[in-house]
Amino acid sequence: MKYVIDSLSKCSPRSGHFQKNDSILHLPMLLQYTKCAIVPYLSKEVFNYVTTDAQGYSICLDTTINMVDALSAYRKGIASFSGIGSDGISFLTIKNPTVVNKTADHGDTKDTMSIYARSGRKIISANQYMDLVSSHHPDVFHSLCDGETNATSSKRRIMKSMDRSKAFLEICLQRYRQSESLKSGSLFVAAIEGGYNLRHREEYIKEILVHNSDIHGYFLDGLHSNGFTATSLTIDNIKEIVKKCNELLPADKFKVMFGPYNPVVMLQLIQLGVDVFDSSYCYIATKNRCALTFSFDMESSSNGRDFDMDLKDPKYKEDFSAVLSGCNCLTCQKHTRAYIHHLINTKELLASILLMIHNSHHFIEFFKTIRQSIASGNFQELIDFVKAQFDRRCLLDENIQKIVELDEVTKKGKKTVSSDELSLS
Amino acid sequence: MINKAISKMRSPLTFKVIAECSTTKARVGVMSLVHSDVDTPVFMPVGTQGTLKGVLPDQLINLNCQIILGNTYHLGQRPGIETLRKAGGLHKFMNWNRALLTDSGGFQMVSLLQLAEIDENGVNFKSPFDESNCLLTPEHSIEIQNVIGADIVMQLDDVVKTTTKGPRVEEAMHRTIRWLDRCLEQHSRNDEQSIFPIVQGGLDPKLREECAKELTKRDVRGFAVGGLSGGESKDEFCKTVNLCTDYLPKHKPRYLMGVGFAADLVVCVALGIDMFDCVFPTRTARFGCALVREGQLNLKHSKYALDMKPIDDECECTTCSTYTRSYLHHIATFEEVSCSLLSVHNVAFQLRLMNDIRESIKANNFPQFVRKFMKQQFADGVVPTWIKDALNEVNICLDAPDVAETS
Repeated sequence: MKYVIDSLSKCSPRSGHFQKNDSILHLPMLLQYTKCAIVPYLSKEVFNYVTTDAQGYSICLDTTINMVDALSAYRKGIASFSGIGSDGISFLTIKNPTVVNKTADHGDTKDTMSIYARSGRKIISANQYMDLVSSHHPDVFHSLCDGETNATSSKRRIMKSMDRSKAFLEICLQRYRQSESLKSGSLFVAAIEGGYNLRHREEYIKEILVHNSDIHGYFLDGLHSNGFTATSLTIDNIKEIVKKCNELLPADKFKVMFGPYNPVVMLQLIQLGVDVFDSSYCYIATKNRCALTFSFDMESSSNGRDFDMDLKDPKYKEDFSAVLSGCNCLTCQKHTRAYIHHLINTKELLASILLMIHNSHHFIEFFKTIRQSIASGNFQELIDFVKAQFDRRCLLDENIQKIVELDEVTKKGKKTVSSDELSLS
Repeated sequence: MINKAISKMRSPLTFKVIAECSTTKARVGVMSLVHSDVDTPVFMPVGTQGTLKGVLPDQLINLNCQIILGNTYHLGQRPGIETLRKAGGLHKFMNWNRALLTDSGGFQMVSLLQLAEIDENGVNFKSPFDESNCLLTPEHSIEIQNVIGADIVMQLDDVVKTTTKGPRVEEAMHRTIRWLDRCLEQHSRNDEQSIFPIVQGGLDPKLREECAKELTKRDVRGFAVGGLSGGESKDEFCKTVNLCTDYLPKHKPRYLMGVGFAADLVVCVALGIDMFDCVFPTRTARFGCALVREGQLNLKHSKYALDMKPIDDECECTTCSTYTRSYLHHIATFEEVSCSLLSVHNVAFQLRLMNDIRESIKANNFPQFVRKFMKQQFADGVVPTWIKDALNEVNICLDAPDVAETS
């Protein structure tokens, strides 16, 4: 497992790649968001319809921490255990971008962090975290961190997050240096904290740069609280901080930002030198019954095209066209808007499967276009092209609250079985 | 292997028996339908609302599934007949290019709707959506099924609870025959779709015989045995199935509705049934259960937490080739994808069971297959009496040594 940053610029779109055995994954890279280390709704068989190219995957610890005994027994790591396969890159994170962070200062001691798993809260120390990392065998992981800050965090909260994260980092690095298997198998990413305070960010970075030789990448953390509200984050909110961090951080290391950023913000972050993202935005769109339909093909006109399509809308009841004409995904090649609308109406699981296939495919193609556009030097035009479409839409925002509520209900309901089916003989 | 040339008339259903068990009434056939050939005995997974829950049509094709079921009642409610008509039928609507079978909708009404009342005209019920009074007549059922466009459609029958006794059973049997004639009269796509009549008559051998004989006089291409699996004893169930297949013509397919437990499938194939359907394999998947020859694994059970074997070593489905019991244990019932993974396995299990049955009949060692199957299924060696008795009726004696019936 190695990585190469080709363009040693700091605050501009960068190119480079990760290489693992025969698989090469280019930057800027999209990690497939996973729950329980599987792409939501999509078995490996079905994900193979989306793509058979090696992918990166974000593994959210809150959804895999219950598997730790099994992982210890299994020994071959989470990616192989969960079936996403070890030909791609697995990136372990304690962040779950689709779940709102729990409020900070919730009684953790200064040596522990809480992970909110489905089965309840797990309190872990940095050492316990490193044990979890070892049993997960990820290709990449970040240091345990308290990134529970956002634009409204108090100075006290920011300081606390920095202190704790720094202490965690020291322990994680120490363990990393001592472990031959971790050093040979996993890349170490350091979390960068400091909230929205430029001076704190600078101090934090200066302090951890002494460890730079053991660190392969940096994770710009502590800028938002994840969940649906993070989809409405704008670049203006975070631009100064991201820029400052990337100016201070070494150019030859990759930069990661987890979160359900909308496509425009992702493009703008890439322009600021961020290299790695996750696809949690696709999952949130799917949960919202939306198909992503924004265009990134600058050869074609985006006129009249919706940024995304709310397939719950009764206007699709008898619309027998593909979700997105010209799209090569299985959903668009084989199924219609009317069919998906019907599946949504009848609460059928296949609705989520078909939407997730399309949305994942759309984002994978989007990132291919991003890389091409960086290579051919028209990245700014791509941003303008997508942003113009985004500015016209308001669909997801309107439904923001509904989704969050829906999420809560499903969690309480627990079962995935639809009740009408149960009464059938 | 399938001789399409024979069907110069382009009958929408031709059935050819290609092998018969020399001991039991089991047979292997090929049923050629407009959308695909179907190898029988066949298990048909149920895709109630235009989808097999959590499984893509492409995955069903990978599983070599040749025919699935749709439910007329549900499809008539949503997406509704007008939408299906505009889509050009259910095949196109859900993009399933292989064979489809639809039920009449009557059973769902009687089982789902408390307020359903049946009279000579049809089934009266209140719409679950707006409480309005609705009537499903035999004509209406066929009209809807003509729009849905399945290869095989079912007549509307008068369903009574299996445990019902007395004149109501007889009335239902006679009414079912009258309704069949109304269905056949209404049928507008006889060159593309085949109506199957349904043998009724409760548990009364005389009524079943009379019904089967009467239905056989009609010009139809296959038959169903209905009104079972509704609370009767397994003994009565097998006796009735066995009796029905005795009276149904050998050269036409016989469909036993709503049966899908593995042991029932094996027994009823021996009794001469060719087609089965059941929601059980896909429903039990949603509760975290995986089917194996030994019964079923409830993957939520803690004993699977560290079990690194696939559900079934011998299963070739994508679930078994990719996932361990341990992983499935950790996601079953709450992570939606577990429903897909277990449904794929459970459908694969059913289809493989039917394939093994067909192969054993072709090799004329079906009785041996039955013995082996029962040994696996009942690991404690205690095979239920109803199974022994039913198999005895078709010359398989489970207590006798293996060599007994090979000659």
